Amino acid sequence: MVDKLTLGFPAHFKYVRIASVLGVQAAQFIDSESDPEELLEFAHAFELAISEAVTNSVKHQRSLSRSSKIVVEIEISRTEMTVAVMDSNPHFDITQIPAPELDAHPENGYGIYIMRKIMDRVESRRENGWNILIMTKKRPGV
Amino acid sequence: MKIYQKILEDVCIIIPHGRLDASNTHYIQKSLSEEAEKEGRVVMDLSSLEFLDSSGLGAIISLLRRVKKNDGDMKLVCPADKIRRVFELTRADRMFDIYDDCEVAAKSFPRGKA
Repeated sequence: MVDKLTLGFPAHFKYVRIASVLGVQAAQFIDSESDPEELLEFAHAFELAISEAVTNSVKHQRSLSRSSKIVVEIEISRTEMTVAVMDSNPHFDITQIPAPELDAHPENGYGIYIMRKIMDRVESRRENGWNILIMTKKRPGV
Repeated sequence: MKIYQKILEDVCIIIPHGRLDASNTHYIQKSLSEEAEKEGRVVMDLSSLEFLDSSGLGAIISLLRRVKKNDGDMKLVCPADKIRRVFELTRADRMFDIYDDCEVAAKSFPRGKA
């Protein structure tokens, strides 16, 4: 069985936390049999990854004066949790984003790098004018 | 987000509460008075922070650079694994002296001129 949650909101920084908290709540909700520490770490990974993804979507919208829409879809299967972050920004391909120069300690540009570090898979595609960023992580104990 | 401040001896302690993300990084930028920036002895106590992402991290790195411009330093108090992990993932932990305790961090500054 697959559970699916969908959240749509205007592309504004003030809504980043709502998406992020939905992710952490969904991740904790799914399984009461896992090791609580592992489950918490799993939930925190989604909390951070969603915050990074949605922040990028807000930053790169076409016009900051007229908010576009962001949709976050969370899908929970028996083996993994997947979060899709969708926006109608100009085409965005994560394979074209260079890794940050960590030893230079930049003040930004960590988002995609962090997502890749804490998720099992991060992919992006363009579909019907939407950028779709998909982050997947295996459920703890699977 | 709320940011509390206190002075411990001659050290300015900045204590952000809540979640630090792109919606409120400007609070961090404004959290340091001109005087404290010149004095250059700053501790940022992250023990009341519930969440930090890379936007918040960027604001903290930027504040460190401001303090260092005046030959000062900013130490961190960061006991929570969840917050510390963001520093470790990005190697920003190498920029800061990180302590578990605020008083120990404040006492770590050399006495006399910073």
